[in-house]
Amino acid sequence: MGIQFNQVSYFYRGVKNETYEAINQISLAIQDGEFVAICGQTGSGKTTLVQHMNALLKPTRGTVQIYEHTIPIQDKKTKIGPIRKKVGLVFQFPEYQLFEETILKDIMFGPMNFGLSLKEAEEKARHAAQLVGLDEAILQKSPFRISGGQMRRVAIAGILAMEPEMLVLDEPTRGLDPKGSDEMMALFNELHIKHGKTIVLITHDMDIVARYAKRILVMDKGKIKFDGTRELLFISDEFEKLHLAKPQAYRMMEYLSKTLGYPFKQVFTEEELLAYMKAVHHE
Amino acid sequence: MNNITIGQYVHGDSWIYKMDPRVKIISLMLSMVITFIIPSFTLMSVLLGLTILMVLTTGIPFLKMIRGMKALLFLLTFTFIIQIFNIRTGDLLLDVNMTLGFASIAAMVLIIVLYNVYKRRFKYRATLFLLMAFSLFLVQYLLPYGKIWSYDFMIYSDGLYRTGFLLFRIMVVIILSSLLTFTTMTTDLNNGLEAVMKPLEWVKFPVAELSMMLSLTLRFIPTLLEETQKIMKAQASRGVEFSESSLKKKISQMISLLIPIFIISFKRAEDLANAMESRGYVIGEKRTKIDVMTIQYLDILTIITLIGLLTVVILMNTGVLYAI
Repeated sequence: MGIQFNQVSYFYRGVKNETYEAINQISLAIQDGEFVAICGQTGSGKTTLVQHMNALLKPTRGTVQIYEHTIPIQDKKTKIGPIRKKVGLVFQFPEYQLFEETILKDIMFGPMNFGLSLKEAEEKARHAAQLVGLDEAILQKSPFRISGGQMRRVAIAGILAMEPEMLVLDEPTRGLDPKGSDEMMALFNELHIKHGKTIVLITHDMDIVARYAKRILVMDKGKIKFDGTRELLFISDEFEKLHLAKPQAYRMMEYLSKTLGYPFKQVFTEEELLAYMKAVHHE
Repeated sequence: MNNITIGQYVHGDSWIYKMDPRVKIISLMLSMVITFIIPSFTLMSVLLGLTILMVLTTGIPFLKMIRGMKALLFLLTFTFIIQIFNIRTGDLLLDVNMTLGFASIAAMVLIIVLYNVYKRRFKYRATLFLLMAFSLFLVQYLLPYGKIWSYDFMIYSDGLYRTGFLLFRIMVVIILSSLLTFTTMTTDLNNGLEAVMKPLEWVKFPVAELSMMLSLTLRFIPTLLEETQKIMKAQASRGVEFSESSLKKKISQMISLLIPIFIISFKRAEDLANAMESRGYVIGEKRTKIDVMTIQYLDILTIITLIGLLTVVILMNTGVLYAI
């Protein structure tokens, strides 16, 4: 099922009634079980694109198919709420959306909105808190008295408690320290592998992209300029024009093969580089 | 909410844009005084004519001005009716027998109901409103059946003059004040107000602080709107849909919007205060301005003309000069 974009354009209207194309004629299909990373410069339309996946924005032209629903909605009876249950969208700095008295109540907010009973919601909330690694003991605390990294976990748990089929994340590691960032990414990877969730992720960090993403989309000026695997991305002819960096391990490999004459092989993570070098060393 | 404009500034490049904001504010005050003490209907119509002429030279679309007046349409109509009924001096111009009866009251109710049902579909709602108000009286004249109470609807010449006088006065005031807001940027307006209120510092009124507060408020309206929109979207993806939920739910959903915005604004205020202090801002200290306002010939001319006009009007009021 997943999400299909069908020639989708979205125009913002300026002060003088002029229009800006945020995204332009995008056709795209994301299937269940994928792990997609979206990269691109600031202002390339990434956030606009992912907001369409949750029916937060209605396309100016074209249609978006979100599981069994089509946006814009054709008949008046269909409510937009249930569509949003299918796709959980985590915004940049999601910790700002917290508001309840206790962490548990805040996590329960989403499930309650979608009509679950108090008991069911609490069950889902406790489960989600466990998934993101929140201690049972802090669930009764106020969400404003914990650290920034913890707050982000609470916010993400709030989305996970709605049990969406697809998780869309807008720069989830932004503003976190390296350790927190690694833990966060490990969490999403676990959700993807163990729980079979579809993950769509916006990030600027090419190390994250190269390590986790099975499919990479690169956006530029409202269009998709690249759509494929990491193996193809870094050898693509277009790569120079995409304004992206190569991952750390990849650059190290390039440097080693240039200076010490190691035969070049694509590596994406430090572990792969180490394994390759050990193999070459033993020969 | 995307393209909300703060203030009503209309971008342009005519003589009025080049004027000093202080002079504009003082001119507005002077012309308000003139408008309120002007003695006769003829002079008031001349004043209105001059005002309209002035609007035409500033390059502000006249229709935009009219649209600004629409909000006051109800008040204007109400004033008109009250005045017509109240003033009974001068020559009798019109005398019709009106009947309040079962037929006419039913018709009036019907008209009001129809108006409220259908007004959304019409483009020219102001015209429709006037038409509605007029027809309310017309049915009283046309349907004298089932009489309960009847009265004479009389229009006197003085009534018309006085009503016209009042309407013209309101129009001049609205046009002039909207001219100020249309042609002055909020920052200029704020600077001008600060300069005009400067004398109040003699009585320990915190003018500089007030104007700093005002400019910060204006600066942060768009930012807070943007934040609000972000939070709204974030809560929408957690299942908050304002248009689709019941009233009871709406209240609890409102809280999910208000608390994050409060927290963000407090955080922003704190950051801003720190940033200002680290750049040497001290409350109440003397500060220099980046935009220095200068008075030009046009400004002097405007002030002199207005003071001249004011003197003439005062002389007319005191009887030294004969008012037309």
